[in-house]
Amino acid sequence: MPGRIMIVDDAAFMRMMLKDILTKNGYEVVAEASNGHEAVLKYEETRPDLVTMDITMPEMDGITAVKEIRKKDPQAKIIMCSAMGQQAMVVDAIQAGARDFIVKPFKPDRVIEAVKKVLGN
Amino acid sequence: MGDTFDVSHYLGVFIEEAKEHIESLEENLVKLEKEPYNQDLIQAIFRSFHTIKGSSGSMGFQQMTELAHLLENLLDRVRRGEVSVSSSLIDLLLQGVDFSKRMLEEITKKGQEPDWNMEEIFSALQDFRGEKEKDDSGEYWLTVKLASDCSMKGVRAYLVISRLQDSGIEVVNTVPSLSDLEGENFGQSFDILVRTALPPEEVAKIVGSVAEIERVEVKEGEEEEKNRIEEKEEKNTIPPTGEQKITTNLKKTVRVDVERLDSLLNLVGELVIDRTRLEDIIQRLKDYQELVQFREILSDTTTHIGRVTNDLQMEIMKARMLPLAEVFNRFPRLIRDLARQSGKEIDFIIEGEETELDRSLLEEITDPLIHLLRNAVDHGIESREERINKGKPPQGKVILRAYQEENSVVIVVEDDGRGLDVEKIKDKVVGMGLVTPEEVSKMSEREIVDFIFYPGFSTSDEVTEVSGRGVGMDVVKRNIERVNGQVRVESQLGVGTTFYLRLPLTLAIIRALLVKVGESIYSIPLSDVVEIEKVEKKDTYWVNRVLTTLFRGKTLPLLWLEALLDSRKYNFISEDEIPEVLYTVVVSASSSLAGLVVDEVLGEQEIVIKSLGSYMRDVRGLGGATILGDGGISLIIDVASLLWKFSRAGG
Repeated sequence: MPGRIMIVDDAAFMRMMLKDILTKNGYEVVAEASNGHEAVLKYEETRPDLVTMDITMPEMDGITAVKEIRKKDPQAKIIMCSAMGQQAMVVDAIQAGARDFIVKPFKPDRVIEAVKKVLGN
Repeated sequence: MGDTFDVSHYLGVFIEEAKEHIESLEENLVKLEKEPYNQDLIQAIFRSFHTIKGSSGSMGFQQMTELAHLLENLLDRVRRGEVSVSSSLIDLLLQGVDFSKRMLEEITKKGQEPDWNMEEIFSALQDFRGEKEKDDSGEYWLTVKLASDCSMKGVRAYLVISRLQDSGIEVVNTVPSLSDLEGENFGQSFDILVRTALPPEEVAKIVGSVAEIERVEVKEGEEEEKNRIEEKEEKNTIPPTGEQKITTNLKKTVRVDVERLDSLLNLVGELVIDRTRLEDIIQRLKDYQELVQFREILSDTTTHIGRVTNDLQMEIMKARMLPLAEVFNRFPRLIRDLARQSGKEIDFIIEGEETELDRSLLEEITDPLIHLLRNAVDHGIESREERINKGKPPQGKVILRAYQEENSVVIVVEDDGRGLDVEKIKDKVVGMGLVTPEEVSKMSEREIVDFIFYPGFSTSDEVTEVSGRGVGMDVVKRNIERVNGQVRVESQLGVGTTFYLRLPLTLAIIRALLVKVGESIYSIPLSDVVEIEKVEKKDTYWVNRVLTTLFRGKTLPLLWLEALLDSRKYNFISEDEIPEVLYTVVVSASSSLAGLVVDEVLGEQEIVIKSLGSYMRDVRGLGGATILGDGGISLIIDVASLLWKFSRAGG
């Protein structure tokens, strides 16, 4: 059973691309956010099964957002979206509770694999 | 009936035996940590605890018996594979051994066991056992292969490990090491040793829940572990130095008080002097033709006495010799503890521990060696991170090596750490006002490095818990020189430091060459003599105001013994002071050669070294005195310090 996903990224282009990949594979994108602050609010509203989270964003970065979301929902499943060279930040995010990560530029197969594994299907 | 049985006669034997077991336990436990599956070791350790339990029980030392009993129990569980060997297990066992050791010290002092509260260690031993009892966990090696297009491999590996840990699985080890994994210093796959109660399929599933992993293989069993570790060792090209030896053999010996041996050796020394006097008398009898018969009989008897004294002396010497293992075996424990304290990883290698040395020397070198090893771990070896940054293997290496070279034993303490910083030493010596900046700029690297032996010298900026003990290198040097030894250091910045300690085999009796200079007779230890040469004046040259000659194709400086001991400089010899023929004793020390010019060479003789006494101890160039056959006194030349003096005088 595919799941309900929220996409968090400050770049509209990235959100669009991810949305395409996910919907083509039968997932439902229930929310989109362009910064961490917005992500935390929308997470509460929609309670998605999974979040894809960009790291560098204005207002609130992805790592802080992971922490905030996990505070509210310790079961929250979050996949980090990282650019090359952000190793240290991905490690921080994993320590904060992120379940997995994907590296830009995204390959559809990799995105789907990570989402499937985190959702356990 | 047991109540009246008096066991106090056995106290001495009990203490000695327990001591030996405790020593071998320390050694074997440290070894076990490196070879967790070595059944022979486990067996040996078990037996030691068992023996201590039995004998302390017979002696009526209840606390000690209980302690040994708990330790034995724990070992039994290790033996049956119920508890696996880990650093925390070794820590606890060593702690138990420490307790036994201190109890034994109390027993030695007071004849009865101390009344200590042992609850803590007892329950620690019990709990350790208890906790593991219900634990039916096993160890698996996982081989994780990442997808070929996987990016950020390091983070991926980190994620795998943290996923395992989040699932309550203990990650015991990884190949390559964690830091190599995080630094992406690996190919497409890596291995993880885990300990868990979960079945292997479950573990594989957990790893498989991480994205971008191509394959996970789980291998069970100890074989695998061994192979991997052996492989690793091969890669590091560590020579297997007696690693297989297990200290179980407790020698059957009669124990003799060291003082008794010392006084025996002194007595033999007196005999040697008397023999020399007899020989002297025989020489003088030559002038009395009518006594020729007596002279022959006396000569025969003296020869016989000579042979017997020689044998006697050899035997006593041998009895006083002990393998360096006696001292070296304590060090793996020391290094382990120091390494754990400082958070460094250290591979400690001992070589040549079977080399034998006079017992009294053994005692003298223990502290200097501890100091050198502490320094190596504390200041020599860099932190893990620093080593990785420098491109060195994260594990530091400290080597303790001994070997015999002619009449001396050489002990080498080597580390592959940061090395001595010559520039820093320069700043320091100038700062301390020992030399001026101009002088320093003219000094060779070796001369500068030698300043570390100067009293009060230290290059370490911060004093750590480990080395801040107030014992400096000057004390090391003094201790070694006091027993007629030499210390030398070689170092390369960033590569490592090596200390060489050269020690005489024994302290008491040496063969020496007697030479006459002016009115005095000097003894030059034969071990330092290379050759005796007759040099003609025409074959000498002045090089840098030093009179020299050619010896085996090399330049040999000629030194006037008298002038050197007088602190007169060699170059005070003027051209017309040079005799036509120079009787030259070629000596060597610390790989440098020199010719000592003397008036006459008298011959070779065995001499008994007598100390010069404290008020003359530090006279450079002299190593003691001896009594000659005619009752006269001869000063013994200490070649090493004499040559040092020469080089300082402007060589």
